[in-house]
Amino acid sequence: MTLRRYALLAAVIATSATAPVSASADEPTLTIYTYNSFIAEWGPGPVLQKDFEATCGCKIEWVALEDGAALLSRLKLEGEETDADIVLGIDTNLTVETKGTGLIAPHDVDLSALKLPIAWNDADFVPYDYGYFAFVYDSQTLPNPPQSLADLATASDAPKLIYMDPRTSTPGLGLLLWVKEVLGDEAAGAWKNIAKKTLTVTKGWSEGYGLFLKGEAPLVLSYTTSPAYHQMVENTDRYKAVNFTEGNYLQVEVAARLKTSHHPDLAQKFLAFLVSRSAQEKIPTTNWMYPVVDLGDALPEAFRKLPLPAKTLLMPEDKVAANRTAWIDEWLNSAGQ
Amino acid sequence: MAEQRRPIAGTPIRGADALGMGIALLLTLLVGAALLMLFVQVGETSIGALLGSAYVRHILRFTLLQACLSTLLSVAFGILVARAFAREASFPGRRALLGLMSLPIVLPSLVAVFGIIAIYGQNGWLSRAIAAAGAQTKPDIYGLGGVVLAHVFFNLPLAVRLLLPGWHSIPVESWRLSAQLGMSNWSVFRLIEWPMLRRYLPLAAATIFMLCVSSFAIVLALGGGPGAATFEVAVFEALRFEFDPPKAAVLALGGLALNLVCLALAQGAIGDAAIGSGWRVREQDWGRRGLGARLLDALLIGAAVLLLAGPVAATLFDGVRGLGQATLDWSLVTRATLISIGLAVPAAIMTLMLALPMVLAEAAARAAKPRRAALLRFALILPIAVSPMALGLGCFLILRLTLDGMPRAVVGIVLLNAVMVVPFAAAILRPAIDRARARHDHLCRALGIVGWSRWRLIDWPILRPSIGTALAMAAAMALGDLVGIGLFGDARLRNLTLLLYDQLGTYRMSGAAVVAALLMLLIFVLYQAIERLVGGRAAP
Repeated sequence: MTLRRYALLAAVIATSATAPVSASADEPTLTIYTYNSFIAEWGPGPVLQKDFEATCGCKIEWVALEDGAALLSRLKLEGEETDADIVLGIDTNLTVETKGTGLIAPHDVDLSALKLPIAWNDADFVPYDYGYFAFVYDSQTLPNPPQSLADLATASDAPKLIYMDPRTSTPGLGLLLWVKEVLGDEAAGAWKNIAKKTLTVTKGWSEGYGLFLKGEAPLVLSYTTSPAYHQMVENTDRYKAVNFTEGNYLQVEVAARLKTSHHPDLAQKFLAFLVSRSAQEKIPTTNWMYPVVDLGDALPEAFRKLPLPAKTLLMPEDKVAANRTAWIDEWLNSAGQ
Repeated sequence: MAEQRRPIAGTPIRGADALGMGIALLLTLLVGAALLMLFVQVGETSIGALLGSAYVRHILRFTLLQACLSTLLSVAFGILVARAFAREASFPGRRALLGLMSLPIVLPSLVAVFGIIAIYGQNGWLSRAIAAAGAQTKPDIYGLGGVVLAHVFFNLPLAVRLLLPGWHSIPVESWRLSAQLGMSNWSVFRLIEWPMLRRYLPLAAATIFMLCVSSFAIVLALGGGPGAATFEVAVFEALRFEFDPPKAAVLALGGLALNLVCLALAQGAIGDAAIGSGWRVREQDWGRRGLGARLLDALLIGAAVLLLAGPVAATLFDGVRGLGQATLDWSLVTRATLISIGLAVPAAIMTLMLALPMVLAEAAARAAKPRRAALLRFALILPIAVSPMALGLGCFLILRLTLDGMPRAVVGIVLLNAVMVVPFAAAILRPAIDRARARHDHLCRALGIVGWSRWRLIDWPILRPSIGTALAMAAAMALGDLVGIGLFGDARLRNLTLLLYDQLGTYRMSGAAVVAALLMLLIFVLYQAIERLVGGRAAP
């Protein structure tokens, strides 16, 4: 009982510390599961919420977890009892498994106006932004970065680099698939060489990119769009991305509504809103990824000036699902001993 | 006579034994139920194949290697530094330095990693100093060395905090006697300090070992490659990308088994300290020691402070520098700060309410009912013997059965934080409770002072400083919470740690640096405030 009383006390303290939330009884609530940085004050969440709530006669309630993999894992745990109406922030490597939960409902959104590097005709998932994995380098300390994955995997004098663990992070998994897609059976040998130049392998993108910005290594796994942030916010051209000659691996972030949603129409409306021009205009400078519609001149100049990859690489999702474990083992055995 | 000196069984407050045992049972049940909740989920792992796999064996090897090395170094250095602090009982700034000692363990891991890198990294102060001196070499800490360095950074101060109360439990009469008898330094250690250490060191070492076993992001960030991974990485992988909760539970049990072996060893090594019944603990006599001995103390304390202060100073420095560059929304920072404090204070109170009855019951059972005491010690350390991720997710699943929305998040965050800090609070309370019992049990019994009046008149004045320290530590640890707050994900509950990680996750390094420095200052201030307010002037 004391436990409950203290919990209650804590609830009172915590609620009084947060801004008062006005919820009128007749307004439906749309619960959206997403990842943390999406709902950061400077992220896309708050501005999209304001725009959508202005017209929908509803309230959005966010539940934010660490990343896309955490979202999928939470959906699986909660099953049909989940509170989520929408899940937002799964990436292309996890859509097959997300669909496998049997919880996803078709989106019923017209996606014909979308412009993505690949044809998109998925009936369940609505893409809302995309980016290419790339190695970002510090042009002050590394004037001549490696130009290809083969370079990275063979040249002996290549610089130290930082990447993320494919066991714990989406970019890490992206690199693993990228190497496999380009080098196939030679991947194991490539990882052995890359290991020699690896400063460290971090749990997530934040640690890795943070270490890079602290000057620990001149090369880090990130996105082709990363330099746009440094240009637009910090006014510096110091950090640049290399587009490898073999092409860059694509990551598309998607949203979907759930079968168990009590507000399927509202959820559908939100998904349609998500790919609307007005919502998409917000994406580049809040999530630092490419929008999925052609914004023309409305796309910030820093984005328009970014060089596009020579080739877009993306593995079929079922192939990823079937081989993930084996490829991680291969990576562990080559890079990890 | 022998009859008379026999320790009195049972706590002086009626019902306190039962309360302590009840809480211990509840805590054990909670941890068991959390793991069970993971087991009953759908998964596809064959347990035998998993535990026999080369991957798990490799992870086990590295986990053991780094944990043993880290524990050994932290504890060895910790004994020397705690001893120096005990001897130099009143120098200016002592209290602030001890406050600094409580900082690393409560820092969010990323803040610590960046702090360590700022000093020892490829581009850190040390590396630049070496370059400025004209040398060609660069320190390369990535690898086992970096992992151990980071763990010593975290755990050396913890060892000092956990062991110092032990020295304070040695009554001044023992020191006097040793001086009168002209005992050598070695004899003092063997006859006075070692018996005390045998009571407190095993559990302190076990605590540090367990923290190193479940360490995760630090091990990956500084490990230099995938070979450096701990059990917790495998648990994480099983929960996230493989979505196999039973596998995570099996791995968590594997980690738990490892920790229990360690705990059993620790339990076996625990000696029964002969805590004297002297009255005073402040050691005025130490001032009369020779200059050489005092210089050595200064050197030891200085070395420890240097190790800790570097990363702390670097974090503050980066924060101040970030102020000029960051575009921070201060109302957001204020709100996050209030939420951090609003969740941390109730969690700390709950920690104390869980830990205090258990430690009282353990002390009471120690002489007459050793098995009950061992059980209580098991329950007291259990929260850090289990994978934090598995425990967290299991608790989330349990709470889902009864609660919803915001109340679930608040209860869950407070509960998780409270439970996870119990082992530390217990370690801080234990010596003071031992001392209170050793000094007053017989007298109180003779005078018939029992129950509430005994607590108010006799025990509280003695325990108060330790209760203050335990509360301060619990609050500080909850202040840096990420596990709980990240697990429930309620958008209305975003604390400072989450604000920090959000900034790091969106390129905002300078904003993150500011928040990191702020969080560190807040932890320090809250710690000092609680320790002084609750602990009173006599706090260590």
